[in-house]
Amino acid sequence: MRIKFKASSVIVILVALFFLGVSLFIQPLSKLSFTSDAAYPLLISSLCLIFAIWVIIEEHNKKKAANAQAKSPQECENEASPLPPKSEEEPSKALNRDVLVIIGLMVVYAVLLLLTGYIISTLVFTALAIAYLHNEGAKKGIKLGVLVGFIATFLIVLVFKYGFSVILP
Amino acid sequence: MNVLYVALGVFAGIYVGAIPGLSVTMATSILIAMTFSWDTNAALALMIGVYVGGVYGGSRSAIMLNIPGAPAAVATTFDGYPLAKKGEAGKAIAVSTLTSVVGGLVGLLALWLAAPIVSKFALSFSPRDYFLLTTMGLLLVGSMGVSSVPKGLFAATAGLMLGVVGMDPISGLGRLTFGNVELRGGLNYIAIMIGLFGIGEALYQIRYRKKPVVRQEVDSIRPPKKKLLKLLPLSLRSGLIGTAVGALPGAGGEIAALLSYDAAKRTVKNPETPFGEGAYEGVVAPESANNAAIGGALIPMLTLGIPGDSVTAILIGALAIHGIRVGPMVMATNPGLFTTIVVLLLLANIFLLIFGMMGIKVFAKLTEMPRGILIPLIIVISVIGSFSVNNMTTDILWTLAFGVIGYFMKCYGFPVAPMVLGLILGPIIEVNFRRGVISAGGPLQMFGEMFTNPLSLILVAVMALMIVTQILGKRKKTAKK
Repeated sequence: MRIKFKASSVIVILVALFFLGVSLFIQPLSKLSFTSDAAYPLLISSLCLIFAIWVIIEEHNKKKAANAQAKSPQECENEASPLPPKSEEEPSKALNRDVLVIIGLMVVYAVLLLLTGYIISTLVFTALAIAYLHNEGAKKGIKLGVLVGFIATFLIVLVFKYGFSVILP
Repeated sequence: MNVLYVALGVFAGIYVGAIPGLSVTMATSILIAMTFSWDTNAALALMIGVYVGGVYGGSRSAIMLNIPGAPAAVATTFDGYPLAKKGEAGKAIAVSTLTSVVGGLVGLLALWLAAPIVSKFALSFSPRDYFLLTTMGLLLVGSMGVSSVPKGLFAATAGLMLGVVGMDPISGLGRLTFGNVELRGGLNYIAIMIGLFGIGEALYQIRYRKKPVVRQEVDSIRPPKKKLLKLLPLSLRSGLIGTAVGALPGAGGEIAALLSYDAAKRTVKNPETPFGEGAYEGVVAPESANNAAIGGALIPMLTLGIPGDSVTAILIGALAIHGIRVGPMVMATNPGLFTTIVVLLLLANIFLLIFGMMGIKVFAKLTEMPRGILIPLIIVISVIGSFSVNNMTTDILWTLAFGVIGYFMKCYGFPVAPMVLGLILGPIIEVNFRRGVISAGGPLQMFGEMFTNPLSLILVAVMALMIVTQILGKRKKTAKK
């Protein structure tokens, strides 16, 4: 039987293995004791790996149960909602185009922040993000974005810089 | 004049607490520089006002935006945000205000009456007991509305691993730093918390941005008297838990709030709405507890000179600047200080009731802003919030990165709260475990002491009870299905 693994299952295993791997390199295993530097990370990362395997088993069982239900739809008709919680029902939509665009803008924001500082980068980010998300047509969206960007940046500078003496990046 | 300073402090504190990243600790530390030439009572009035207002203020952004304004408001997001989603943000804030005041008064009463007894009890906690207490905090994973136990546990252990990054708490050697100097100080959990909760939620909401915005009912924000009276016993109970946990040095409002939330979930039978889906009880418990923890934290500070949390540590410093050394002798050397603090705390709670009930409609209306505008604004506020904690640009990058991680975790059904809990509690668990093992002479000896020391035995019994009730609760749910 061929078992299909979901991307999330592969990721949890990789994360757990990464944690275990880096914990093994903290200090030589010959020096390991209950109070040494590596003991706690090794224990936690091992638990993390066990839970990752448990996640995969649970996912597999859920899939199996869902497949079994799909085979006999009439049996489910009168039962209470067999659907999993909302957050789990739409993983395929995780790579949503709008979300990816905003993540891209966040990367641009981070780069601009390092290069030009908070004020300019925030203005650019808010203007572009609002223009994209606020479905009012390109021209109107950009106008609104620039306006909200100016007001928000002004208020943030006022509150953080002058109100709480925070040095802006 | 001092009354005015308390009022000013509470008002400013509410807004400091409501802005993610601006912590009460930061605000009080700024106030030290501002007030060192002032009269002692005036300086204390302003600081205690900010302390009380700030702890409460964290609930506002937790309810409206799902971003806890402070770590003590993490538990408030579990039911506060679902209430805002249902259009009941105004009522949720009003309930949180009223019960914060009740919790604050419970803490104040405890400070006034039981200060010497509670401080002696807190002093008897050994590292082994702290290890048990914080591990008990970690067991709350099951109470956080987690739909999948292994996913909740995976998130919690991942959070514990993130807490390992930085200098070893005992030997001082760098762990998981990959040679990076900035990582030696560890990961800033506030930056990560803002990313996971704030940006993660903002990104998730993008998928639903075309859905009509939920209108907030703000015509009558005051919950009916009958409902409030029903919630009062829970608020008092949570206040007592908050006071006791707040009195333990280093435990703080966040653990108090989480433990109270868990206790409420176990003890409240048949809430109108299930916990995690917008139960008012889920707002009452953590909000009463975190404000009660203020009175609790002041007990060891005043009687033993040991800070209950980071703000009381700053208060000790502020008092030292004014020539007052808190500790067992303070009652003899400064007999008026204790009464002054009790009166200031009482005034702060009265002003909290006044200012807390003001501006709720405007705050609640903020959530009605079109998502296309609100989402970018949440991101820029989160960015400046995470930066302002340590003034480090790296924290911004962590916030953005964990925002993306939080989004994917949400999409695949991994809860983010256990990860934050693991990150906050991890270093405390580790250091107390290792200290406990060292002082007992070995892990087996420490394990043995857990069953011979009466205090440890009580904690072990409570933990066992928590595990058993969680398992039974799950079985009951499965059987119902």
